[in-house]
Amino acid sequence: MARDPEALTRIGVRTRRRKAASGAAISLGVIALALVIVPSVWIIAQVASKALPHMSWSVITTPGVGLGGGLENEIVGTLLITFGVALLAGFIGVMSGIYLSQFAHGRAASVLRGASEVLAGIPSIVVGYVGYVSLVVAFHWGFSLGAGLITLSVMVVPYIAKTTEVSLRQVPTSYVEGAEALGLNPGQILRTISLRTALPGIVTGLIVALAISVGETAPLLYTAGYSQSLPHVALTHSPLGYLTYAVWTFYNEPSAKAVQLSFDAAFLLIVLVLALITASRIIVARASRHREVA
Amino acid sequence: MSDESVSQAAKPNEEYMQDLAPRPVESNSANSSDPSRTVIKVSDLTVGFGKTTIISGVNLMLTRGSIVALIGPTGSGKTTFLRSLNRMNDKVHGYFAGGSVLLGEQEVLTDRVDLLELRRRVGMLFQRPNPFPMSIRDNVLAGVKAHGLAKKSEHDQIVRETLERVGLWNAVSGRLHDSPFRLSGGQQQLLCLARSLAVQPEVLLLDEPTSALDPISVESVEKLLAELVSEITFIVVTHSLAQAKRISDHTMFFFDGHLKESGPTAQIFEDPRQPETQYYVSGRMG
Repeated sequence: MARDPEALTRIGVRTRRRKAASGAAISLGVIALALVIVPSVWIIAQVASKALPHMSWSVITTPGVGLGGGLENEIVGTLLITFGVALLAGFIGVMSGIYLSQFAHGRAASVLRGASEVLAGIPSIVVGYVGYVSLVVAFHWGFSLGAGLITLSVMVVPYIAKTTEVSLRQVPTSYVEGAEALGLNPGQILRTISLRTALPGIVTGLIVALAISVGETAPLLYTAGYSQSLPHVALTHSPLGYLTYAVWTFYNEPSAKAVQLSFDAAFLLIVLVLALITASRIIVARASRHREVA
Repeated sequence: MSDESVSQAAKPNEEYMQDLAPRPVESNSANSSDPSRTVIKVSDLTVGFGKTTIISGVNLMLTRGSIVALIGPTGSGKTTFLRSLNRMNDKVHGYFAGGSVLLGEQEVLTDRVDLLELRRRVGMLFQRPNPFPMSIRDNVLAGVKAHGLAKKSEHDQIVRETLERVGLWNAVSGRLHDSPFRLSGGQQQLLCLARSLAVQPEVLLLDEPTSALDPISVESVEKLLAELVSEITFIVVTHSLAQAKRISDHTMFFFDGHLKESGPTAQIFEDPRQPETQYYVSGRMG
């Protein structure tokens, strides 16, 4: 059957229009991606170019002295706080996520979820202030590692709980049904099937939460205080330094050495965050090797 | 498909059915009445969700070492019945069950039953292969480890024997630590079968186990069932009448929530007693 030549023209016009729309959409996508990538690369390049030329090993191995010295106390402080948050917020957040996804039903679940969302929305400086009033002052803990990491943990727990809950909810029903039909008990199903499947999501959430807490300043100013001596591991009365403090304070000092230290601290923070992201990628890749979609 | 559409599908044959004098279901036992060979005895089983009763008044006896096919239109209650036998409906909202299901001496429909042990004894294979996201070896051992059925030193042997039993050993022996999702659909289903066999079940429930597979894989699964039937009783839900005819010793026809007729497969297909059965097996009702 011969085609109507007009119809063929219409099809041609439509095809051209479709291709143009497709091209425009792809271009917008590329531009949006560039808007994400360019600032990240630019920030890293700027910080690295200001920090690396004068950075020496001694920055990492000596503690601060006045406006000079190194950043050893801040590095150890940040690592201590991060490690503490990983343990405390990681444990509470993952357990809350497990509870919300597996056991919480009806009203209790919606109240808990709502509370968690409200907590996630509270500005960090307010969380810091509450930490100061309660832990530092009312509990007489003073500026301390304990007050700092509890305050930071309160900030990131909702985030970890949410990503854990969502990841566990995404475990395919067919896995869980298969395991139930095999006679595995709920604990075994959670351990061997659900958590294993959800691990990449949980780890990603945890690492992002840690990256957030590594970069926080406000809550720590209120709770961890500051110290130039190496932190001693005690939960109370143990003020300690951390890298974001150095970035913020030293940058405003009228001393070239202090400003240099500020950039060194910023560079170390970026390295730390990149290391965290790399670690999460490795864990995710290892955990995903038996996944359905490669 | 909803209940409504089923009843619509069933409507055109009403007139036809009236032409045939209704005959009562004479016996619901799926095999000879030797009680020592009974593996499952169902009495007056009623199952539903919320206010809706899905199946009611089901009575039957299944004997050890047979393949039983469950046929019937979509929504007739086959799968609900199947999932009642190992209590897989428990978690469905509003589920209720009445009557009795005896597995050997053990009443299944009671709170006192050990659900985990019940499911070890009554395994299940699903429509779509669902290997776990762990290595092929760990898939085979998942149930064995969970139930503590064997020592660690025996695991290698169990993996080999079970995979040999399902005819998968040669294909996967070199990649036991690989992901099961790189296997073909048919191989994945055989792996799931191996996983179920590894915990030594007495009964295996199969919910349209081959409907997602290619013809060659269907053949290998069917061949395997025939080989294993001396040790295990298979209850197979299938929409393929040809498959029911090929593999089963006994056939049960579900219609509108009732077990309309059951008996030796040859009789159900060649000399059905109930008009609905006749209508369904002749292919006039989907």
